[in-house]
Amino acid sequence: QNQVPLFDGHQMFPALGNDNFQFDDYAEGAKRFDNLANLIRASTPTDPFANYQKCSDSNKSDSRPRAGSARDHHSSS
Amino acid sequence: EPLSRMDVLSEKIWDYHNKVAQTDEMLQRKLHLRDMLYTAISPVFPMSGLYVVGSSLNGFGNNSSDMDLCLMITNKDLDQKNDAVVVLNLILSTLQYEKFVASQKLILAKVPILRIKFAAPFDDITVDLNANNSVAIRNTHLLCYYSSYDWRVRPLVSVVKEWAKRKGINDANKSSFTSYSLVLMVIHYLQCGTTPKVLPNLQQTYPDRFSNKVDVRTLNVTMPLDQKHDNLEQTSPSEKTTLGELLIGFLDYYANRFDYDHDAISIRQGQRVERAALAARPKMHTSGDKETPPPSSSASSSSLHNNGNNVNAGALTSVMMHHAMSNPHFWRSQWRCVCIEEPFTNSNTAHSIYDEMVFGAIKEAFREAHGELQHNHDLDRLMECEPIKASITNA
Repeated sequence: QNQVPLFDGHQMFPALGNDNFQFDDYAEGAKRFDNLANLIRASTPTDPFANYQKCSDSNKSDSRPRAGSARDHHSSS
Repeated sequence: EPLSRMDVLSEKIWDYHNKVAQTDEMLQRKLHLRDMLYTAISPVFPMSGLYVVGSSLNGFGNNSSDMDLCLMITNKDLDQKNDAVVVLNLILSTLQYEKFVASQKLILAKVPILRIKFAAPFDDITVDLNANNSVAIRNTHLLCYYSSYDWRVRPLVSVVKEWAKRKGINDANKSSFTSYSLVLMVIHYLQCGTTPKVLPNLQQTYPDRFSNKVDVRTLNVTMPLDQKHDNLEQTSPSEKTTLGELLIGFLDYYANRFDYDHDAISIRQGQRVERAALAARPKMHTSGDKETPPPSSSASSSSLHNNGNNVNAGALTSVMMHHAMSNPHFWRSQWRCVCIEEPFTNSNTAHSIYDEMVFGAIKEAFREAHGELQHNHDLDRLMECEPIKASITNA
């Protein structure tokens, strides 16, 4: 039967066979890393071809929402 | 004025990308699943962090991508040969009591992983969990900033990955490219194969943000890059190379312009480097790529199902792992055909391409695809390709 060893954060971790083993706090860091998803969203253009002249809908294309890439957005501001 | 053939190709690439790219809904489901896993794991490792890494969060994921997770427990390097296996075995024992977990398998590679499959409604997501392999966090962070730098990067990677998959050259187990290697090949091309350059070298331009000395907990994941420093010429949208031109240029670069015998790809240095120089350097520490060893090496795996007999495979797997790492073939193959430097370690992400026959077929595939796409600008025809016909000779 497997016994799952519990520890309170100060105890050593016997299974790892190292007296100096040190646990560090990564709980917040891991959640914060999810924010990369916002970077991806913010840099995704809705319609990158809106600036090109299109034969059938040249008028409509101007009214379409357009977010540039992060670079375009940044350099134009 | 009708659209040019090139613009039609560009729009097809963009449309294709939008069809396959990871949706927000899929990401939310993955994050929810990660939270469920963390709830189960945190009683055993209370201060740990469960990071989403790889394609799910680097911007290059598609809707069928698995989820890679990295469990961080310590700021020190965790010995991957022994201690990481102990940690993963402990998690395996813990998760076997969770109803939402369907099956688990411990896979012993350079970086050992616990592969977890789930019960409905998460049965479409497979998780690969590593223990404390922090380089995976760094390269996810770096690749995410590359993928966000210019809107053309992600759609280009999407079609290259799909073409490679259909061509049968996106499978490390069959002696060809991993998705990670393909992404690095695209970034390298956009750094040095186009005029004007599409991507800068982020590690050199922003050392404070992408240095491997930065604690992964303090990596900046919210601020856009201050692009005054990148030295790229500012080009107006009309002067920019179109997406279609970039795809043709990519195929041309690896079909005709890249010298595989002399050159190695280095994203970290932002240039082609001599492969002899790369191969001569010592390895840094555990590698972040998730390649499995070549099929002839002795890496093995143990699996455990919820309804099966429980076996604590720790000691046994540790011995097998050691055997795989000391297999000389495993190391000899490391720098053989294609050299792609991992941006944070000195390892070769393309070490699985060790077979000359397969390598020849890969180069031929690039030449054929370039010729075809340059001639007819037809994405659908490019994607209707047949897989390469090359068997592994020395497996």
